Amino acid sequence: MYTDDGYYVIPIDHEATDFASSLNMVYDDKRMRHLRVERLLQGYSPSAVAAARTVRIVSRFTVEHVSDASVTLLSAQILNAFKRDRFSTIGAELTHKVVLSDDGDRIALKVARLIDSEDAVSASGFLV
Amino acid sequence: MTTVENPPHRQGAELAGRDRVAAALYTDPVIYAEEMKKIFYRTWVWVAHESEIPEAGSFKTTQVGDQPVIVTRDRKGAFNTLLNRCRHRGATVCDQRNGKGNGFTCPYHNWSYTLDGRLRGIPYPDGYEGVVDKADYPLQTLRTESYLGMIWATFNADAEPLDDFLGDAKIWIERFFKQSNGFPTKVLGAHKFRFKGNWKIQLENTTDGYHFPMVHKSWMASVDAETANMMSFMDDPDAVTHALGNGHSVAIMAAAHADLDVDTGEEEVQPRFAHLVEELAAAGESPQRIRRYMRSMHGCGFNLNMFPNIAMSSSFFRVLIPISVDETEVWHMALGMDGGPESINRERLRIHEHFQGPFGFGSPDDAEGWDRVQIGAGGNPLMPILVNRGENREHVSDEGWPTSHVTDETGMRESYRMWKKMMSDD
Repeated sequence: MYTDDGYYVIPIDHEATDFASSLNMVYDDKRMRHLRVERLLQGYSPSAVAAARTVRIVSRFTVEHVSDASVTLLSAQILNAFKRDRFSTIGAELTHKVVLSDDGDRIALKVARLIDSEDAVSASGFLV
Repeated sequence: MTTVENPPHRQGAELAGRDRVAAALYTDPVIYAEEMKKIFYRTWVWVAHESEIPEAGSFKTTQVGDQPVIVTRDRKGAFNTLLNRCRHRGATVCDQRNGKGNGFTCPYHNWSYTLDGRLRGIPYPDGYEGVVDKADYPLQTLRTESYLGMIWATFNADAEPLDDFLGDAKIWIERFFKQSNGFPTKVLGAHKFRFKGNWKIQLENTTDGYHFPMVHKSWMASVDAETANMMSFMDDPDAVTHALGNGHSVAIMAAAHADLDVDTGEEEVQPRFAHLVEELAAAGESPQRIRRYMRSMHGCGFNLNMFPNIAMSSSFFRVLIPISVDETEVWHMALGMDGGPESINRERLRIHEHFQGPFGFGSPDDAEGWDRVQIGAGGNPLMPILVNRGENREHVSDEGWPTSHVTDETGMRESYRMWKKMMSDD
């Protein structure tokens, strides 16, 4: 789904653009994305094994930039999670930069700006 | 006949023994209220690192126990901790997490206060002539002292000096900062998350070596062999915990890093940092300096746990903020070198992101365990929480510190000793 040099970022500072020099909740290159999926599936992680059931909606798409080479989309995501008798709702503003090519379009950058990113987020290791 | 006891409420202190405490300590809201009064309003509570308020006019907001406070650096460079509550009708006078300004103005009737809390101005003062003298209504001020840039505050005017409260923890604070390699330490950012459990569950966990390879197996499986090896201390006799007094303790996991000035030369620089070594060499850094930088990448190899709310945990600060009897907020504050090589600071951010915070490979698994502790502990409030591991092998070190293996519960016994002492003092 991603280009080899693509990044998935969940920043803390809503205004940050230099993610490499900032502390983020997630700053995943290809290697980290792979490790994260492995962690979710391999069965060692207590929080992943007991992951919440989730449902999410992504909507309110707008095009920030479009060219022959890439498209940048902005959207909004609402995710609802249920675990141990509690619902939690997480809202985020998403940015997807998609690189277009003949053998498939791929994400070069995905940024999820949680609306509570600068405050205490629940320990959500089961997500992503 | 039931085996679950629900007797009338007992004083918190009675429920804490030397090596076990009643589960009610995690679940009873009356004990929680007692803790606010007897511990958080009486002792030194950590509020900030100096780098968070770097300039005259800088401020941050936080809590001392359940009380909202503002921590400032004023024009004279002094640190102040002010109760975030207008003296008029009680509104908070600062609503931002941090910033810079020349004072605080209440949004309700615009009473304004200086950075050190003095009441500077009251609009339309005609209604207060002969009734209010501004000098009598500053923001409530907490005693504020610092050690090596770590800032603590207390509501208790009679508390012992901070130096005395910290005691032998000071030795370890000094060692912790050696990872800044001569540069001032700088907070680079903070992960914040909450879990559904009592603050003391996290207080214990900081000094819990025992859980590491079980709870954090997924992290260990995801890092290079050298990093995993560094944290393989279960059978390492040099990995010990010392009780330091006043509720503080230090748990040493990677003994080779505990004092970064001491280098036997045996340790090899981790291959994962080869790209940094190259970059630093190209920038003209000496091989000795590069080695020192690389040995400090993961921090100082120990968790210094200071009662009641702050730990200096290998490479970052861990702050506990009690929210209610069964909810706690935790901050993991990432650290770097102010003026040091940016490539190293960035790598430290990446290391921190990999384990810590709500999406790290480590913290969510800790929180999973803690959530389950809170649920299980509600099952029988008088059934004890055991903190007796290692009683068979605890001894006193040359420094006079009760000492046992890092997987033992020496640090927890020290915390509860202090807890019981404070809770017994009416």
